[in-house]
Amino acid sequence: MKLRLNLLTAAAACAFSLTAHAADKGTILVMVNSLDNPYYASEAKGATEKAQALGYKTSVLSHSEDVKKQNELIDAAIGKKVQGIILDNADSTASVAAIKKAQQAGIPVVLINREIPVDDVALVQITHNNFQAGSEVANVFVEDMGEKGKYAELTCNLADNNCVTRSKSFHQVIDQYPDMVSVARQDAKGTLIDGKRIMDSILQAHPDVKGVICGNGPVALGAIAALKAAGRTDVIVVGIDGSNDERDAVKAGALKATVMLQAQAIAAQGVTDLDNYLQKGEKPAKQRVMFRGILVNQGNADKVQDFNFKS
Amino acid sequence: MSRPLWLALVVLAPVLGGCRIVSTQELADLKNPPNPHMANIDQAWQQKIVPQIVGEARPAEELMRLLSTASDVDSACKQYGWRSQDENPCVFAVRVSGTVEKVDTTSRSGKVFIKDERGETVVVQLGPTIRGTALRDGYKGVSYQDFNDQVLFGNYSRTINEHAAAMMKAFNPQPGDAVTVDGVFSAWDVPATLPDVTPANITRTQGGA
Repeated sequence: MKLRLNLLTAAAACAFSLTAHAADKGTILVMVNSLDNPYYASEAKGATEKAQALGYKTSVLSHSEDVKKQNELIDAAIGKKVQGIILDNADSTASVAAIKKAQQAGIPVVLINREIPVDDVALVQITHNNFQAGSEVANVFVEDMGEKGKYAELTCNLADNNCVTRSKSFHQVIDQYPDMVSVARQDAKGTLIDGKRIMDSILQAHPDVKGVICGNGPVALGAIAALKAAGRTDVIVVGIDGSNDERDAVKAGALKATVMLQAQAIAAQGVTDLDNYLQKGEKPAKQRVMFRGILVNQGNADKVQDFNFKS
Repeated sequence: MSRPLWLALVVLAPVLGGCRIVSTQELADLKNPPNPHMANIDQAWQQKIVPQIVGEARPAEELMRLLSTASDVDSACKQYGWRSQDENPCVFAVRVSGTVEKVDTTSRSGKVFIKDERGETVVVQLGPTIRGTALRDGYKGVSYQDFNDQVLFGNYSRTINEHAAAMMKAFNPQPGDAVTVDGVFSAWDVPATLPDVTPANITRTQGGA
């Protein structure tokens, strides 16, 4: 039985391998934060599908926000002479050296999602306009709050520059409304569990809170879980990410709005840029490209699927 | 003088010669040089942004007629609008002439309702909070490449919007005023009706609309 299973596995692996090698241009390494988080999984999916369609093999890895692990994986990729790297990096400043090392080894790196503060190290940096995403949900939030009342902010992860940018854009909008009163601002580390735990305690301390603005989707879903457990359906919640779970929460009315980030699209664009460089020596026209997020509400939530928006 | 000390002085002299003492502010500026676009924003508003929009604005009736015949927003944008990069919505410049019907200041995102020459009501942002980034995104003199910092790029947009809000506050439109507004709106698709306009210039029209 065991032998049969092994043979079957081997056969399946060969079949997969043959498909992937159909027009072999070499291997592209796709490295993201975590494959458990639907956002990063969608980045990996977008990059992998595009790369395989263009005739590359792919190797998908996660660095778990660990700069040391990221460096080791990049070193290994240099050793294996991959054709290029699609990277959502672990830390904007601390990643520069590793990216430079790959560049010096002749391996182009395309950055997606998180930027680094220097140009001409990565082939191109493709990011989301987090500031715009934050402004758009903040506008909805302020409007739904009637421009007044007590609110809390749950940031996604203040070690991530994207989360800092979102928080700044929230405040650029909300702080223009003097009757909006902040009762709490806490870092929920980007996770549903922390979002729920912090929202539980905010509800204890501030039962009169009217709204919660959240730095990402899992945190918003955590806040919603806490509100549901407390029987509070009157609190306005908004977030950013646009996962399928958030889409369903928007449709159910528990989440007023979110901004869908185009995870698959930025990754696919990165692979296209990499392919143009590898095959034709063409560099992207711009060093930095920003994709806009798409505001999702009950009117268009049906169009969201796996961080893709069907227009 | 001993040989090692002499050698040390020879090595250090050019280094020390290149040193100068700077203030804390100068040090901060050296680390993060001020963005020239942020520094010149008042001048850019008066001499570039407003003239560009006024120069490109098409009367609402003409623009909507042209857009209604466009096959898609991409081709319409190439002919009648501006898009700094493919991922952005298109920004169109428009001129609205008509009579102020109503001024709504219940929200901080105040609005002016203008019945235009087509007989349709157009909404123009009044402020003090002006929403969106259409004024920045419609200005051809800058792009994100000039900032490489989303927060700074956002602040640039906000400062431009503040100029628009200050202009509207100074103008103080009232119901019955005959006005002409040159402004912009952004769209992902060809709009069926004129979206809310963000103003760059407003004048009173003699004789009404």
